[in-house]
Amino acid sequence: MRNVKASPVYVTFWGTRGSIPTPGAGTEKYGGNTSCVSVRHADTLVILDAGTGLRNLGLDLVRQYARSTRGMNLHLLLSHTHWDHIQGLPFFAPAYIAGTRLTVYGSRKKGNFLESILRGQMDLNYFPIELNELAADIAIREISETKPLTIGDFSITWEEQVAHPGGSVRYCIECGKKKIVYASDVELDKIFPPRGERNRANRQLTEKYCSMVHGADLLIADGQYTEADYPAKVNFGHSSIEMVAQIAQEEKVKQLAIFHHEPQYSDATLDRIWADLSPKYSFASPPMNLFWAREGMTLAI
Amino acid sequence: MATIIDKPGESEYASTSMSIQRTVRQKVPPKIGTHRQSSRRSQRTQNLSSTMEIPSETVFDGVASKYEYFIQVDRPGRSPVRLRLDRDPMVVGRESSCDVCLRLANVSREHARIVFLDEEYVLEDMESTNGTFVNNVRINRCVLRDHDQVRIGEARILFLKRPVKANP
Repeated sequence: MRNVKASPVYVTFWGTRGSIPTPGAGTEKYGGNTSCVSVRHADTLVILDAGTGLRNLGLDLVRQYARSTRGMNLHLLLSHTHWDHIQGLPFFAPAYIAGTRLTVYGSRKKGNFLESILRGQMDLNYFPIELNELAADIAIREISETKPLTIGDFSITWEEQVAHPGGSVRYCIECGKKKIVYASDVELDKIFPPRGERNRANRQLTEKYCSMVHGADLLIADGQYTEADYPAKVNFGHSSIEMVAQIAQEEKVKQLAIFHHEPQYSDATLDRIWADLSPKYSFASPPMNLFWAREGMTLAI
Repeated sequence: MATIIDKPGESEYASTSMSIQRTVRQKVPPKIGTHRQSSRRSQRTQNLSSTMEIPSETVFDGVASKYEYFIQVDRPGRSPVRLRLDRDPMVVGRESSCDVCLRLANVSREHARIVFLDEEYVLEDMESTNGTFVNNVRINRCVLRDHDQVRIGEARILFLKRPVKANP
């Protein structure tokens, strides 16, 4: 019998861009769709964020399930509700299919507003079909930091990230001995030294961050700006690539996927930054594979 | 081009952009002017339009993007070989039945394949023992882009997208 826990966890990037979709020839390599990642193990599928990349994931799922008699059972974990993390939901094809079960999880900090925010973006003033018209069985749940969530073979924990306007949530997905952390939309430069103030609150925040990412097989992390561009973007809620890479290296992360790419950065710019930065970590001890998350790429973890 | 716009009676049109501006202006019915003037102007527009016409077939042929795709296979101690991606799927591995046969260390019998899906070439690992890498990242599946460097065992494979050369 096949050992299910030993089989790979597949991580696919459906949308990697930050802030706003950026279609065009100059961004086709790393992709123009906004945040969406799927994590699959055996029959369990978890979706991280619902940016515009969710549309292509939906089309792929419909293709996969075309001959299946079972309905889809999907779990969507939202980091927060900024546009670039929810805009794909109205275009998610499985939500229009009766028999699909879609559970959406989000921060309790939003209070009862999570549902109203998701309903709001499908108000008739913005979109022709309302949330309650969708054929799928949709449940919206708030999560609490104290209770881990179990979905199939995944054990999922999460933490609030305060260093982002309006807050966001990072998720840690463990499956057997494998650990995948999704930590987008956080301004690490504000809480980690040298830029972050050395105070008790920041010390607690940094310790929690380091503890969650420590030893991760894959860390998908916000790295929207270069060190040079960051000073003009303070308080925008995003990290510098150099800062997140340094922390990941210190915490013995095995693979670091830089995520939430700055809309102004073309493929050529991202290639250049990668070529400058990556060798430092490839040849470090222990080595860390630093790369840019790329739309249409699936990793087996 | 000068030879096109320098027709008898149209020599005052110094450039194509200028002539287009004039054409647009002339197409607006004049508020003041005689019927004779107006008629002369429309005659000019007619002539000018005929010089700019592109046959519809040429437009349609030119609109569709035409690219061809290659892989350049580089093996240790051998000259690189460039292959056109003209079959789907294209299997890469150690077996002689593979479309790209690599008798090299760390290559599985059927190691990876390149498939054409949704107008894109996608590289898929076929549960190889030593992995398939795109730009140094071990992948299970990856949409390929121009100049991606694939590593399979000791072989390096460069993915190339090139515009189709027009017939002479």
